[in-house]
Amino acid sequence: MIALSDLVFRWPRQAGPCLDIADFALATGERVFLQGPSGSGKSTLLAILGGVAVPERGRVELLGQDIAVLTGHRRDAFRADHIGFIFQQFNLLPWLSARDNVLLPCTFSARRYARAGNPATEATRLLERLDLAVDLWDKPAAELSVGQQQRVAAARALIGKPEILIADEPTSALDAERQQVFIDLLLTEAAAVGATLLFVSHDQRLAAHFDRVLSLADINRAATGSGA
Amino acid sequence: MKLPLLFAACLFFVLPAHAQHKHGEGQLDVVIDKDSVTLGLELPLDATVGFERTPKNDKEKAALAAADKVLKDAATLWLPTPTANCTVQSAQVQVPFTGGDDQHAQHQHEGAAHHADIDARYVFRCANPAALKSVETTLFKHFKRLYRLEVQRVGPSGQGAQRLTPKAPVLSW
Amino acid sequence: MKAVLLLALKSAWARRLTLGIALIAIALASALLLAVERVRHDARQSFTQSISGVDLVVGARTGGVQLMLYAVFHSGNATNNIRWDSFEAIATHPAVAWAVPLSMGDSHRGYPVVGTRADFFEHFRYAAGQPLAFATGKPFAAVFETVLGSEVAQSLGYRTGDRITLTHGMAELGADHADKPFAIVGVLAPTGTPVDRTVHVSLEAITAIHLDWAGGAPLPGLNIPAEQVRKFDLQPKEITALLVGLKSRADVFRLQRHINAYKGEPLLAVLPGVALDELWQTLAMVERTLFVLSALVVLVGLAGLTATLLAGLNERRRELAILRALGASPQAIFLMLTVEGLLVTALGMLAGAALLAAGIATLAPLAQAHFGVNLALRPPSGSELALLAAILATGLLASLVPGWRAWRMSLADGLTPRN
Repeated sequence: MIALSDLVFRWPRQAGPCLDIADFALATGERVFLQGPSGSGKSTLLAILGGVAVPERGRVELLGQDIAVLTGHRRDAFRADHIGFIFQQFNLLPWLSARDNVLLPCTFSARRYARAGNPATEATRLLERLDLAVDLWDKPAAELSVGQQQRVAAARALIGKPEILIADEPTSALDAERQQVFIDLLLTEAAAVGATLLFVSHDQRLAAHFDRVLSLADINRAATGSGA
Repeated sequence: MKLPLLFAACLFFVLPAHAQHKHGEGQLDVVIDKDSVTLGLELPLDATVGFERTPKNDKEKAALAAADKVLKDAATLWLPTPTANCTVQSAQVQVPFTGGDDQHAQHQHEGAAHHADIDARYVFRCANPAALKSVETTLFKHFKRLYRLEVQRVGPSGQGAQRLTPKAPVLSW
Repeated sequence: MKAVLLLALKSAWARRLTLGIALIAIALASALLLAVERVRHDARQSFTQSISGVDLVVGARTGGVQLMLYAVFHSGNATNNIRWDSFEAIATHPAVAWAVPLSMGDSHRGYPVVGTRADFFEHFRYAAGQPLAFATGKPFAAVFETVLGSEVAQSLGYRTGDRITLTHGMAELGADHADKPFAIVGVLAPTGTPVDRTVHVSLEAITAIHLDWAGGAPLPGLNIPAEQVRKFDLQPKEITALLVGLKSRADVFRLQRHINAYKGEPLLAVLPGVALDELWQTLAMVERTLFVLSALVVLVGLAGLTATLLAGLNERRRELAILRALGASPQAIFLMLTVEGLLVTALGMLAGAALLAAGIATLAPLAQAHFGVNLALRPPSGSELALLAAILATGLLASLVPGWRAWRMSLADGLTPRN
């Protein structure tokens, strides 16, 4: 599902590479915990997987397609069609309602619109599954608590059944108890849509829930990551 | 009418009196009447040949003759709107010091003993006068010392004034 | 792309307060620019259309400007008069179709009194050759009858049948010709020209009210009652100026030269249309300065828009990254910002045009009364449309800057903005 090989990435005007990965692969449906402190090249790796950054050399194979050779436009479309992202916080457009935020991927991708069946119903279903109170659905996202926002973000990442889910420290803004609940929900829903999940965090305690645990430091041969 | 009046009153102080004869400045009177266009041109001799007195040598005489030749070529000098289809009917040109007729031009301006003007009168007739909207002049190309032509125009659209310069040599209405 | 533009609208609506302020600035600036253009155009119109159909204006030899000022705008005083025989010599010239004498010097409550002949009403033309029309009444026929311009009648509340007295000279508190009142026999329809502000009487009336005057004051002990003036010769000996109409306009320059070289006394003939054009040309400087100033105001308004969008961009960094993660291309981000700026410009511009229309609707009567400029509500002229297009084009340029910056920013940030 995800396969990186012989990948080298260097930020402009920097001498050494920030990423140098010989081999990194995730099988379909696999749920992987990638441990990496900030500054380890984590954001850069995610940017490459998302297709917003292009490696100096190497293959970035997603669903059998090397996205490194695609045009910028095709990479953007690929991201919209196949990848759901959840970030640490501020995932939502604050001036849209929770429901409209969830529906966003369907306006960017015809494929996800089609795979959602009836997007409105699907959004409702996901918000219910992620345990968001009905009276919050049509409130502007800015009025939701951080925990509520993260659940809306998860619903948005899941709508239209993308093949790949990438979560970047999605729980670090939550307290311990809510972290647990959130990860359970995410794992269940990822399994329900059959998505491959790459969960990135510095917090080793969360690793127990996953099929496989990796450390970025182990796979990245570059001496030091960049500041990002 | 108070505002225009105010403007006009201001102008009273800023507007110089009409100069009779300024080197480099010509006067053009244009009458458009039915199918005819009459151009009355008055140029300081200085603007065309660089002196305003009896020619002293053959070179100066030749300069006068050359100016006379340019000014008589009405079809090159004046370019009315092409679609109006205008043709030259007559071109009368009086260049001072070039023949028996120079007395007239020399004595036109009383009190300006050392000035001399060229007087010319051109008549065009137009097959399609309705299309006539402008007249371009090539005077500035021929006479580099000429920098301004003050135009008074009378025509079917009323009266008007315009200032022609080497950069804006087209009279339009 | 459509999705992004729709989101751009929603996003802009969420920031409507700050964008609204930029919009108001653009609206005010556009309204100012359009107003300058409109007033310039209409003032010029009012000015150059104050007389037409008159081939020559003739007076004693002064400056052409001064002659126009007193003969057409009835402002200032003629330094010299013209002898009656000069008038007759011109009037009977074979090229002349008609000649109307004008005699000035008196006033009524600040409005100039012009002595003329009844055929003035027939020959005078303004704007595009419109003749004078009577709102009520008819031209004067008897000595002590008068015809008022529309503004005189309106502002002083006069009607046909009322009686007024004239004042010697132009001062509002000058000596009155109180013993010889005039009956108002006609009021002219509005023209937007100096005629509106003029009291018209016959030439004979001017002679009659000055029969028992000398040197600007009543002769002591001499009082000729109004009913006896008929016994005197009321033929004027002098007039101030005359308006001349020609049989063929082709003769105008020839007759002008003829009059300027008139042997009897020094005279000056000017072509009124030419003189008005020349006057306006000298105003071109003022006109251009006003225009440049208001164009600068528009630039300031648009610079404000650029600043607003750029300042907002930092706060929207996260928003742009979210859109990128959702699949928006950097080009879409660029378009989003540019369209937003363009939209604010367009709305501001339209609001400005509406503001101008509202302003004209409410202020037109004031402008007419105080400045004599006739401002009319009408669809934008060609030059105004060109101005609007220029504002929009400049707005586009101003919006490209934040668009470009957002594009660069989203390329650099990727999915995770560096704050």
